[in-house]
Amino acid sequence: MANYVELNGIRTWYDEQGTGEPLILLHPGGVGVDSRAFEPNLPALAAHFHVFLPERRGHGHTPDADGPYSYELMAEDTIHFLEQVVGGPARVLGISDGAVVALLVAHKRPDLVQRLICAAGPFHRSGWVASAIEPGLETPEFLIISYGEVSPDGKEHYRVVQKKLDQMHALGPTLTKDDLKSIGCRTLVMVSDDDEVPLEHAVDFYRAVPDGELAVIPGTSHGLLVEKPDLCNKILVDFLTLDPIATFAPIRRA
Amino acid sequence: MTTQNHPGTPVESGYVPVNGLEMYYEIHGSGRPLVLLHGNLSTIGTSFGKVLPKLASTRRIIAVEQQGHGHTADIDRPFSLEQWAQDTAALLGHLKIEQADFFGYSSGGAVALEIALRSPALVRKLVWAGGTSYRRDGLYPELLKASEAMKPEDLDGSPFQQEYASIAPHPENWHRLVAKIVDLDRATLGWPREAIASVKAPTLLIIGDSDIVRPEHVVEMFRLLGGGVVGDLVGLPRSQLAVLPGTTHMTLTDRAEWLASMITAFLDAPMPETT
Repeated sequence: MANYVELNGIRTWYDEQGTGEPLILLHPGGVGVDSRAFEPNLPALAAHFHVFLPERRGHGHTPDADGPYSYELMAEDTIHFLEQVVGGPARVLGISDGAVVALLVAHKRPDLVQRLICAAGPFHRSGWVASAIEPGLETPEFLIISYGEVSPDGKEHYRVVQKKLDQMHALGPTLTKDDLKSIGCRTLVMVSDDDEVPLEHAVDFYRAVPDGELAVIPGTSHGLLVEKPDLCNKILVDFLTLDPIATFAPIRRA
Repeated sequence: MTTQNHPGTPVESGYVPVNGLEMYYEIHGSGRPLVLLHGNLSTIGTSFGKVLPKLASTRRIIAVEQQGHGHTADIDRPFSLEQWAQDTAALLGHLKIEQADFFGYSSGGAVALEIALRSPALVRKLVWAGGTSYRRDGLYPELLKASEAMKPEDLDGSPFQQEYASIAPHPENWHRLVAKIVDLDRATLGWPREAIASVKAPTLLIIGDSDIVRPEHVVEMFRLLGGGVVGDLVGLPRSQLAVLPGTTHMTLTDRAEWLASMITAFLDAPMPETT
């Protein structure tokens, strides 16, 4: 059931599905990209969890607001969402820009994140391949159409959103490996084998988080959750519902 | 091992005389051939018990047991990956299989790679899961130390030894098997980078995130095989990489559902056009 809530001065749209413990899904960023990105994953996740799908400012049904974007601001909005709508801690899964927002929420407010999944997102902006955040690129027509379908600000406002996102990507995120030491919850770092986040950065991310696990999904790109939904859903649900399996000859966790 | 491994009843099994060995094999299912190669000290059951039935539902599995492992009795000959590659190729020749997909677990993957280098026409696609590496220093140093120091009696009572006791023709040879594996590990040098880069078969590399191999090393290996590129610019690479979360070397084969899903998708995809 879709609904609106006033958060940080923004009339924020969110959807809810399923029952159980809360799971927040944070969509990718970009013009025309919103909670619809999780469609292939929702049935599997909502079978186990009370899933919340908030749309961030300037994305999907949620209007834009004056002023620049930053990952920190998006994380602040998300913290308000957790406090006001969910009413406490939750498992949080973010993809691409949403992964960065999820990570910042866990960094700022460890009390609000029980388990964290960062899919296809870096902890530092140097962890994007250059083409992923190159500013001033022409927005593909299908994304402009997608934006216009749901944005309350009208299709043409996409130019403003695009510019603000370019600025956000130019500045953040700027977490260091040292910062990641304070992430206290079990964390799954997940990328494709052909991602906008290079494999080496994903391995660094995984090593720096104290209770980190790493998933690389073969034969997929930045759209991994949509490209291989069955495999990804299995891995996501296992991580979210099960305890770590007993290990016979641990090295990293010895 | 968390549970017993039962690969199910084969449609055919037997022994083939190759290079002085009576080499054991099993066939499960029907369809395009997929050869399974077990790890050191292991058997068809302990390496593939959980995943084999899932793979056999869509293809013809040929699973073998190498010299001195499982049902295949040892002979007076040191262990070597090159020799096992030749034995396996000879067995497949005997079964009139001209080309197959290969899935090796741990050192079985090294044997599969050796076959791909020696007999490229025999290998359609290659999957190496667990310990996936091309140089010894790709493994964690503490693992190398532990394996150097391993004594034949250290694995008494392990699932491997128990399986050996129940199926090997000479269960009393267990300690000799362990000693020969320690020698094999010492003698294994790996391959030069050029050899890896020359592999023609599309290759799927799989490790656990807490495997015996450093993830950094398998990423290097993946890049040698043409992976780690921007597919939208230069086309999809012929090789793929998977890392399984929360998974060690030993528990990798417990991830049967994940493995079957990614291996089936990789093998079912059409062969890339040769350039």
